[in-house]
Amino acid sequence: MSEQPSAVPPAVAPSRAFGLGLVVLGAIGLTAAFALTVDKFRLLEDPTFKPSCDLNPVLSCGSVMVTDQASVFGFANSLLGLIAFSVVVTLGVLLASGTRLPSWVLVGLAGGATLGLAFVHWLAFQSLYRIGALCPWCMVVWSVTIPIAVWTVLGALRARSKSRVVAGLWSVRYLLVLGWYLVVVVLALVRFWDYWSTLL
Amino acid sequence: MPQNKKRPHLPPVPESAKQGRAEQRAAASRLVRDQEKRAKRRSLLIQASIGLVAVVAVIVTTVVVLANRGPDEPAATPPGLTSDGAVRFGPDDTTVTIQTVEDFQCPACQRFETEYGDVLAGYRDSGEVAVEYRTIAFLDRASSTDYSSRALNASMCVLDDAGSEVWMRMHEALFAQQPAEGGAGLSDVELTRIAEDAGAGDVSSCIADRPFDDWAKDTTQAVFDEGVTSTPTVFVNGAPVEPAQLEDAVVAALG
Repeated sequence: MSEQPSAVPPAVAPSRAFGLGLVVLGAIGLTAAFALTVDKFRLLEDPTFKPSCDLNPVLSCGSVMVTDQASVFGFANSLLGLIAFSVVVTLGVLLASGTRLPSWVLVGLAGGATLGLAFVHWLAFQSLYRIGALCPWCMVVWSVTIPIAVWTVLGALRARSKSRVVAGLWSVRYLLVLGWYLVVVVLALVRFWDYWSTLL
Repeated sequence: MPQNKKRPHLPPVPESAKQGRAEQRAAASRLVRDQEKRAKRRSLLIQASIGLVAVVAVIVTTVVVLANRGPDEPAATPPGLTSDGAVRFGPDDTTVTIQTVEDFQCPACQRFETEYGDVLAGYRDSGEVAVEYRTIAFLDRASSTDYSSRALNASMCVLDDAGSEVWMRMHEALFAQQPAEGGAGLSDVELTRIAEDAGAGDVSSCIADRPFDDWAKDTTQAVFDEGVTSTPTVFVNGAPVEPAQLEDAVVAALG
């Protein structure tokens, strides 16, 4: 978690630091989506290709990438990531540069991020309970999508309303994301305990 | 600016006083800013502490609870199976025993059942040749719902509930209605209906709860450890034979 100073008073425009946060998170997501896409190409060229992120039976992307869930819309999910994270980075750069964006742009960003959040949770569920393997790059995508969505939604709300609830949620935004991570971590611990316990 | 119009009768404020007031205002806003900064820092510090405590507490609790769950309870084993996990038809002391290894999701097993089901049924009734069905589940990836495991569990629910004759009918029905690979498989409701059509009682909760999943994993692993690499695999007195040679191999074994 980075130090991210921000103004707490209600109905405030996103700060430059907020933009910088989006750039960092978006860039991480973009890297992961890119790696997944490249590995997918390699896998298509050579079905015996072993992606570098095949670490062990639980942490493995090769087995996840070949599933139907990895191409829900008929093409590799990571292509969506390439597009969506690019937008996050671009808007993040604008905010970091001090550009004031119209609030409908922020709302659009928050809406898109929310769709991404829903998608990522469906994928996490599939990965945990249907496919039975965790793909490291995918988890990188999950872990940046959660803060991007939580923060852009709160940021967009904050820019439009003076609600105390929103201000309160904003002030604990790191804890919100941390709690969110914890839930996923605990689920993964429980789900694959049989395997984790062999590593102890 | 309108300020000038508001107080027309006041004497002009000396420049020095103006400056003083501006400084006061600046000092006040600095104070407010500092306070805000301090409050923010304190809030971050509090959040960081809460976060740290929460992470440690939750992770430690989870790991401790999971670690103390101890070795998993011995997997619930379906009753009436042979020691290697097969459903056996025929007397204990036959000179010939056929064993098949099948997965309910495997299309080649379905073809085998279509072609040789009657032959096997003949052996089951012969009294001289025993037939053992060793069903495993290794094709969960071929459906989006672990159909392979769910079907195996459902068949064992039926064995548990109604015995091997009903299981045999369930087995035949599962191959007859085998879902295509790559789909969602049959639903629990459909499996329950097939079970009841075969003659089982109410096995819906057993089918939903999947109590035999762990056993299924163990038996599947055991089969692979023995060197089986595909299904269907057919053994006659322990020796693998091609389905096409099954009848000849049985004749030969009967002497």
